[in-house]
Amino acid sequence: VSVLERNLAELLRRYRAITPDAQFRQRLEVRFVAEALDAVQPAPAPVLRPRFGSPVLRRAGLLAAAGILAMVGAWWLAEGGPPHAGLEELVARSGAALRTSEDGSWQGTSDTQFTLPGDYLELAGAGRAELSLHLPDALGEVGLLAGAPPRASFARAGDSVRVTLLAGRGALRRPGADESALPLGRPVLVSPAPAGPALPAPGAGAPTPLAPTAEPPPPIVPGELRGLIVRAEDGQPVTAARLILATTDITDKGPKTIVRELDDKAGRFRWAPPPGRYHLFVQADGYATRITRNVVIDAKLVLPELRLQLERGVTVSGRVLDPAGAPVEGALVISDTDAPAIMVALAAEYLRGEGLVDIIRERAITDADGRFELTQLSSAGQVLRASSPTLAPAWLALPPGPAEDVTLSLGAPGSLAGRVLREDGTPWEHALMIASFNCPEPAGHAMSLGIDFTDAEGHYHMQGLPPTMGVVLLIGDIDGRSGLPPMQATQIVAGQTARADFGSPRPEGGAPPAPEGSVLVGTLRNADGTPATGRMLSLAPLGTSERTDWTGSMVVESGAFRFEHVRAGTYNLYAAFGTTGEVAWLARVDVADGEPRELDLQLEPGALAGRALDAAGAPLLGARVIVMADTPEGRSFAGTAIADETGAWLARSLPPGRYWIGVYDARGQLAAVQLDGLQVTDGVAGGIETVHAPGGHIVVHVVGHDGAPAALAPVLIVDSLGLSWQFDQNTLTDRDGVLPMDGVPPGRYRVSATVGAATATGQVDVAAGQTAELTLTLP
Amino acid sequence: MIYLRTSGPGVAERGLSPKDRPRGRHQVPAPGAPGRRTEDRLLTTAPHDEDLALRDRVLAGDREAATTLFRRHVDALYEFVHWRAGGDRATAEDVVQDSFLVALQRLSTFDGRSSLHTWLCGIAKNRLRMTRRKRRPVPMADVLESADPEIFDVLADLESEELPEWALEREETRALVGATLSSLPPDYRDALLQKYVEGLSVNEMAARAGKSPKATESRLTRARVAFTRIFGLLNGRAGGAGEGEP
Repeated sequence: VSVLERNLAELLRRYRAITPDAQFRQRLEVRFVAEALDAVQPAPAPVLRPRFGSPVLRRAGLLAAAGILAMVGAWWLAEGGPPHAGLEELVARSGAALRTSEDGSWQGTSDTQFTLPGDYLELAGAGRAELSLHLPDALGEVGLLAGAPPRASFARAGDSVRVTLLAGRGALRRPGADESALPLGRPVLVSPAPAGPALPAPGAGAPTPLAPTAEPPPPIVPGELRGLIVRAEDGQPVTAARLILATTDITDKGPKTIVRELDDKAGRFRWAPPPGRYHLFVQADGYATRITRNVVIDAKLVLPELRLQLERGVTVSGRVLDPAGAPVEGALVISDTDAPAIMVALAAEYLRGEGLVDIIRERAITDADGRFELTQLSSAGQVLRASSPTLAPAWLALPPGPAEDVTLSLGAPGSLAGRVLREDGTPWEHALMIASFNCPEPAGHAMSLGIDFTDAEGHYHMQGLPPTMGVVLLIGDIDGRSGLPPMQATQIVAGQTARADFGSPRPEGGAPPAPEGSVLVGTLRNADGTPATGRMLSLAPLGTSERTDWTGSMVVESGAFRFEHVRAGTYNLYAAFGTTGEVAWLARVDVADGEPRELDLQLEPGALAGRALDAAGAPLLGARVIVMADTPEGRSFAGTAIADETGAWLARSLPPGRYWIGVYDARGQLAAVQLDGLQVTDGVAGGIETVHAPGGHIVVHVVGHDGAPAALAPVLIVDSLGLSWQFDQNTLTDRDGVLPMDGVPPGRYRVSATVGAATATGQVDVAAGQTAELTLTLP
Repeated sequence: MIYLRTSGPGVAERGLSPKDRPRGRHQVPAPGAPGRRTEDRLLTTAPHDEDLALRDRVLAGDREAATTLFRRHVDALYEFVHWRAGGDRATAEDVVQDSFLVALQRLSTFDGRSSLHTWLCGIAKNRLRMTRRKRRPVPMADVLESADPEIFDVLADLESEELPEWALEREETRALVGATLSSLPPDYRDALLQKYVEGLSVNEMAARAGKSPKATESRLTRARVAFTRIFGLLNGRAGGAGEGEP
């Protein structure tokens, strides 16, 4: 044995290994394993699902319908607005997990004013998730608790907090909460499948003492709706109010409602309605209606106390005119913003029926001069809807605040009719049919144009529809539906009845009709590799007006999607983001008859981001951004984005490359802005700010040498500098040979249309606020 | 693979940041002939197939694999960090936690060219550097700065002189041993502890590891060489006269 060995033996014999603290080791192990699993699969959020399981299943059809509508820009008609899901549901959808420091029984909705039951709320997610939380003023600041690197960000604006989770976790902390309970860098550990209601203790025997609250919480009763109604201006209680709970499910009679009158000096209410999912409307004299969406009452669950602030209402007055400019008497004018939208969404006739009319305050009937006045409206900008039995409804978006002498012009209506047959060819009786817009409304308040249930022979008929490109959904049986509703795009024309049939009749004595076409299946993954569950896809054939000829599918939990009965041809495949009509082009697909196609697709991490502002620097809500990719073969459509309330927009899933964008005012009043040479790599290329001055309009009519309209004719417009412009994703004439263009910057343009070898060219001068018409006659 | 070479950074240096590498009279002690060879010498030939398999299982969402990976490496990594964080427990915990979580994010980039342990230590070193930017550095030299210079002279003679009892009992010596062991690949560390602490024979060690006695003996020899070199390096860095010194 050498000296070295003897020394080694002596040295090592005295050596005592340094080991980590057992609790630290244990906590880190839990977290490490949880994140390892998070990284490869969305957290199943088993705690959350049972709570929403049943309603979600029942509503799957409507959810899917809404997603498809989003594809072409229609709005969330089933809810009359964007899907305001509860926090837990939002979290569950995003594959995240959520725990609170007290008992984990967090519950609320995105419109609920959340309270932290304990000292903190931790969010953990496998993928990017964005949540907007309302937090009461009393909560003050929220803190971020997260280990480095932080993978969640919190942006506070007023009493709402925007949380962006980036495949990790973060926490909201009550100010004053004992930080030693959750030292920075050592966030509470959350198992992806929490078994019990309590959080693992962050330290030896912790959960550390919770910070005392100002007053002891009232005894909590499961299944009870509790709340406090206060005046926004001074926080004083509102002692008299009307509370309306409206079920969120669609029925042929509209939603069921429960009305309660509040009479409490402290402004508090406690109420145990039947379990279910509701929208809560609070109305008080002199105040605008306060809407809290998707309140879930469950006999076993505790809902945090709602704190509802009522704002002073404003008054809007104006006139309703017919197409000739004459006043319309007896027209119904309602606020799509404040009226219980789901009821309005169903059909105007329900407003005139019994029961519902009483609870919708924000409505007026025009007098002989066509005048109306709506009071007690919320001040945050209104969308008014006017309708009359013989005319097409019209909408008008107003800026925030009161308004006088506004004008709503009703147009000539069109109709929509069709017949619905089941797969076996028999008539589908009492199937719910909904017609909706297929383009986003300026303020995002587009809703259903009409609704009908089929008769015993499967026929439906909707009248009084506005001339527009629409979409018809076959929702079918309301209960028990879980599949994707079939739908058809349709063009509603004034004075005509458009037709949309579903299903083929059973041949006399024969078997059910055989399905046609091929099957297109595939998988879609997010940029991080996780399944793009819930993402809506649309398949549109090439070479036609894609607005009227497409089908939809939804990516299921495994990431798979499926299109059936796809006829042979070449298609574009798009993915939808959100419900505001944002899409990204995914692939061009060739389908041959009888040959199943399979695709493996992944969304791209690249994106473009920017803001759209008017000349005064105000955000351009609803501005539409069209993104085109520069390819060796020319420009190809890459996606669309819609500007939010701050004018901000984000065009997602763009492969690395060079892009062109066009930014368009949704109302078509302000001039479009085009930008070229934008580079995208593998992240968000941001900071694109566009300022929009007033613009004009061009209406191009393309006719053949025989005077017949030239449908689907591509139209090219070039300005005096030789730059080509496009004012819509669509650059083809419609079936009447017409292509209207809005938001055209003032100036001189050369316009040409081509059909086959024939080209017609003309010149037009555009001034701000003016419409220039041009007819191009093909040789 | 890990190579030992005298003409460039070897395993010993790899455990230290460039600024911690010895300069001047604190040159790498390089005890014994093997360290003086100019060609690379394979220190460990163990392929990292097992680590790669573990990586794949973790990436596939295998809970058991994630647990195994964590348990297999947490103690060694903690000790590695402990000594480099100046024995500060909070810092060590932060760095170890961050290292594991960063490792998880980058696991798909682990290519098996080094062992998982070495790879994890690399991440930890980066995290330590980031920590040092925020806090006052507490390098090994600081930890041992209060040591009696005489100890280091004694410890420098590890291969030729038997260490006196008083030197063995010094806290500084123990720290030096801990820091040295934490810098070794786990299989070298295990070999030394099995041999000199547990008192296992080479045959027993071979049986435990499922290797041949010859391979085990070879591993033990290399472990001794590595220990001696790193020990000398740290000792020199801490204030002693390395054996490379005249």
